[in-house]
Amino acid sequence: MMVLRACFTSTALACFWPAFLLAGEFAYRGDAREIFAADMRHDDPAERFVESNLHLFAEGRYTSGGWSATASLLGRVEVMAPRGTKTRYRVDLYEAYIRRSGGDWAFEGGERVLRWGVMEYLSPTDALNPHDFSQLTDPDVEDRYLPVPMLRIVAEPEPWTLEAVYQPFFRASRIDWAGTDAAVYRPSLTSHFGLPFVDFSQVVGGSAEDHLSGLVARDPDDNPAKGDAGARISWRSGDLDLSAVYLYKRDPLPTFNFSNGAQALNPAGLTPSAALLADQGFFPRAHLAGGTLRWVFDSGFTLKGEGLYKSNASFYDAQLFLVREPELQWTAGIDYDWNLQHLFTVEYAQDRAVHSGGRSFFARDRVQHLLSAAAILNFDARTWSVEFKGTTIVNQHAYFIDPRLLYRPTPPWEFALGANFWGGFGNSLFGLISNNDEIFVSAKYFF
Amino acid sequence: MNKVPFLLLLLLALPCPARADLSAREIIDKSILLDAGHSVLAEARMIQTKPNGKLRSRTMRLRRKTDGEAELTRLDFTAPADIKGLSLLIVQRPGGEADQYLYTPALRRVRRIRGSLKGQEFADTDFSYEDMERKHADDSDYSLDGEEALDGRPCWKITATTKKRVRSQYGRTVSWIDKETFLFRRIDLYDRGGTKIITIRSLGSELILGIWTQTKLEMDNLQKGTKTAYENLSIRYDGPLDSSLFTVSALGQ
Repeated sequence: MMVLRACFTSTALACFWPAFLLAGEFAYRGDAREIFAADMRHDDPAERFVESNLHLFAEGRYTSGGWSATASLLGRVEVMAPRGTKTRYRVDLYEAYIRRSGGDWAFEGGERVLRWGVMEYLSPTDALNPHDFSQLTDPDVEDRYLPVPMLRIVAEPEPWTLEAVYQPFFRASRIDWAGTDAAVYRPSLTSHFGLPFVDFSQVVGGSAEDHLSGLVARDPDDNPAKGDAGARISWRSGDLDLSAVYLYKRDPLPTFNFSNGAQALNPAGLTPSAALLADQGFFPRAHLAGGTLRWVFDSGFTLKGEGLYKSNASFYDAQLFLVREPELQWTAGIDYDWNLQHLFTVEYAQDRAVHSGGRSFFARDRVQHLLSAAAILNFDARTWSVEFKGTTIVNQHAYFIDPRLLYRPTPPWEFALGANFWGGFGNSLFGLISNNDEIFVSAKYFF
Repeated sequence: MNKVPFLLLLLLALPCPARADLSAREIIDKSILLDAGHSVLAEARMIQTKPNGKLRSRTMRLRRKTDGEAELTRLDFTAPADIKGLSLLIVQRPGGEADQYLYTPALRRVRRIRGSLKGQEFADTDFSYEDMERKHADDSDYSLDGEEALDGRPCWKITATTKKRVRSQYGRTVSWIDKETFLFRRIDLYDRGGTKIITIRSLGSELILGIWTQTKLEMDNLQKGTKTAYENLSIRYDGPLDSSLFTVSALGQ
């Protein structure tokens, strides 16, 4: 509660500033990172890039009593060369929220990113926030979450944690359609449908033509203006942590439904706007249910499990991860991920299904079995680190490899030399972005 | 004493007339359980010397309060910048293993530190998570090995052997406890195999608001070849501390 300080104190400042502002504390932190990356291959030689990415993250927090106010910014400057040199600037408000806490409860309101998962790479239960897919090769995966306005209430009666979240406004994931290093539309692979997206035959499988001929419009009832909600309950006992998650929300990734004559959506075949898609209700709402577990063994290993299922059957994801946790001289883990997860979902329906309630069917080859491995070796009290992360989609012969060498000479600085390699069948998740191979060097400064 | 918790080295307490007939367990009880105030707010600095001679300095804020029978401790690193924002919450309830929650700014997530994870080094320091919490006196068997003078001060020398059922990286500790203040002056820590791995020495203590407080410590990690100097920059007892600071959801705030 803001209470104005009485005016008989000695300073003029104190006359006008609320007492809690004078009594509080300000803290900040952040980092700046410059990455130079060179593309190793691309569809079109004209798009072979040398790329410079400057990232800036800054967060400030004011705390007084049980109140706190937090604001953070995420800025990026991307320059691509040598052909068709282009520069792209982007500064996003990353988070901005107020928190009120008292004892074992807290209330928050504002732009917020919430992470409910236990995995270290795109946890499936981190479903409250959309993602920024415009930086597919961004080394800091945590920066890919986009904030959403939300109200959150937390109660923590030991050993439980109860959370409820309401998001009054919808925000879609960010995707670069064309013209950047992370674009998903490949000009050289323009589909014969004239559609503005990645080659549809690769998305829905070899028989895409048959499916597309039967596409129908989706019920426009999926209005993005409606709010989303979610809740989580966590429980801790001994060496075991469990949580259950439920959400009723809209998918932040677009689903493309097409009325007869799909070309009418965008005859030009270029740069569709997310707004256009949203107006037509292409972000379907669904019930999502899932959970996490984390179990620490006496051997020093931790077993993590996480899963999420969406009621309209467009998505399920289950992961198991056996890992030695970080802060060791070495860290290693093996992750098995069984999911149906699309960069995009293309819904197509057979007539009978549509008439009986509009259920959607998906190409069966989109089920993915992922196997990942990660290892980190630290030397000289973590002055040097060698990291390796690799993932293969076993049933699609696809892979992603991320080796990295880190050097930390003095505390504020961190340098890295690394690479990202993607590959696989054209209709696989990694195959779709296989032409983003790159090597990079980076310098990071913490403040 | 099976081991002296690092945080409590700050908090150990009131002068108490030494008695000749105290048993080893009674000395340990007095050393661990002396009144350290209802709450503590301290600023501290840790300087680690790496095997190659390089120095690394860290500063931190330590807050502790009692809440009923529970003891709540929160430690927040404030510098250098690459570790700023890292927070550890320790919830110690009577009769059970302490829960620890670590917030890592880089991942922006909280994870619970339990069981075998407590033997790992904490935040790239010479201390382990286990060193951060209070251990139960019942977890060890004690023997009084006589009296020795250390730095000119008379001390009891006590060996604590960790019971087999207890999860700890340490199998044995040997402590020299000041007969006047009940503060330790030196502790040698041995692993389960009987190898001495750590030595902690007290380099300074002060009577602050009637509470004996360790102000300077030095730890030698004999395995890693590193040395860590710990120094209290400021300490305040019995000030107000908001309970809402000591919740999992408050970490990272």
